[in-house]
Amino acid sequence: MTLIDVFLLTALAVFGAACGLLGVFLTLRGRTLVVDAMSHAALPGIALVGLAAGFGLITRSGFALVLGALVFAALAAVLVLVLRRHARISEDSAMALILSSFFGLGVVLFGWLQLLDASQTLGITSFALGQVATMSGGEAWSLLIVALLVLGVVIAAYRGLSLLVFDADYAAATGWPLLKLDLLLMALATVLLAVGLRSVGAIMLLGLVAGPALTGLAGARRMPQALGLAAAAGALSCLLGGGLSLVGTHVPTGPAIILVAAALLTLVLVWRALRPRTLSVTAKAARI
Amino acid sequence: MSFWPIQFPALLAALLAASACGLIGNLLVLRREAMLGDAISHMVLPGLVIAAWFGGLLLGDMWRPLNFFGACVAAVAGVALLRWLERRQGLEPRAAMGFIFTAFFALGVVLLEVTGQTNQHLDVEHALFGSLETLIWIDLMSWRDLLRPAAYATMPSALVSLSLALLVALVYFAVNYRRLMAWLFDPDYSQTSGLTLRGMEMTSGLLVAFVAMAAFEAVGAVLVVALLVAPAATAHLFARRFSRQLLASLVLALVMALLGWYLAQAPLALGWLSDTLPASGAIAFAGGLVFTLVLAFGTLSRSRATRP
Repeated sequence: MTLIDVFLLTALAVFGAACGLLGVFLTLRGRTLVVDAMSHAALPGIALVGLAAGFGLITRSGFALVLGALVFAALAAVLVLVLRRHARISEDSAMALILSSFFGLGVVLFGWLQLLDASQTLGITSFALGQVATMSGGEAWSLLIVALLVLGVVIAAYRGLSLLVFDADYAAATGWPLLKLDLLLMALATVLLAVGLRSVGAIMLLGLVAGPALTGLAGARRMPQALGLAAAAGALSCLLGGGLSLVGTHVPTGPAIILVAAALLTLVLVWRALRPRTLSVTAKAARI
Repeated sequence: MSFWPIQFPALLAALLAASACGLIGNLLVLRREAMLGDAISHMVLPGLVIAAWFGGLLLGDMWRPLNFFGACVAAVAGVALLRWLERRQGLEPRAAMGFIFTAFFALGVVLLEVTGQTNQHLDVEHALFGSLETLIWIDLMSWRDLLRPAAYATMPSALVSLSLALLVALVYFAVNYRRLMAWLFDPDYSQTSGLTLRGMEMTSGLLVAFVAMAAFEAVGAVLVVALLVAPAATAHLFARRFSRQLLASLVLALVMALLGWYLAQAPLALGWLSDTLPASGAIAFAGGLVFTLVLAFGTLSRSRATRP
């Protein structure tokens, strides 16, 4: 393992912690599945940047790719919000429609990219499942910086976000800017997804947002504990999964990370079953 | 002329997959559970990989009935796990669903990589994007061969499983038509009239898994979702009767498959590109396109009708 690998894994672990932390808020707000629609929808954005670079309109850079992903992920989130206001479209249908048709567009555009230049390094499979080994130093830096930024913002806005997810009515009554907090949550998720596509993959990002969050919520009784546990589970999943994918064979990074996250969730559930007194709040509510 | 041996089987597979999924998708869309279709279409992968691996080991080649069995077992196990986590463990249901299906898919992908040498017919690309382009019917040189029984010996097996899936879907809707109407639109009534909701949930879930699995091999995991959701959701925009909803989703599914197919072929036919674009992706995109057109048309005509 070289020095650059160590740096890649560090960046990935910080990214995992940010996903775990934000995932707790998204889970409590019931927004996890939107993440899936957004990450799938980001693929055509990446392909379009690749095509624009192929035609010589722009130079392809890591920043341009992230920007393309960002625009399409945000577009998907807005479209889901708009569509579900329609009386005859359920939120589920809106998400599934956006997810699959944007992904389809992504497949077509990546196919076009392949036809223009068969030696393309931009493959759709590595963006769908994640491949940390193909990341450059610059991309690792952007992953690290964005993850740190998201961590910082979440910690700074901790009180507001907690109120939003636990008691939105109270928050609104006491003058918290509810809409702005909601937008902040979704904006943080968008930024995080856009930088994470390369390493974790469009199909697997949902798992990294939901898995560690579920682990945290199942294993803790208080919000700070849950957040800490979720961040730790996210970081550990990324560290072990990313390490496995770097060292080992050609296992894509995303699936390796998600399997570690699944093992951690199982561990916490087993641990909770063996110690019936430390029931979490949600489990108590379910018993009643 | 390569239409009959190469393009016709792929187009036929797309049409069969679209009509089977388009019909079955009503079970999900009308219950406002479209994302369950997303979940099931991902969850079949590990079952499929294990079954194909065992089949390859024991029987020398892919043995399809075993694949179907494996996929259905995986889907049932996944849904059972999901229900257990939300009811018994008190996890947030949507997040639990999202995590379980991602984890199942991840397991499938890793198993594919591990058993890679023994699975010639399955790889990660096919699981993600399908393999419409690889369906070839060698003995079909013109439409006249369709009448020749001997030509069916080399028919791609995907066409058999897709036809079977469509047949099962049609029979299911024909036999359960009234029961389905009650269950989908008035669950309370259907419960008081002696139907077990659990039973309907179980059979419809199994059916979704079965059809998704048949279509999965042709168009891939994510694009099955498009075939399941887009036709039913589009039909739901304007259909006001159950029978029309079913008919409209069937027709829309066929339109979507044809439109996507021609979108994928057009750049080659017009001489813009050196090859066709991926048909499965184009079909999924066409689903979004058809939905947008119907939505826009409905909104426009309604605003015209209400204008003073």
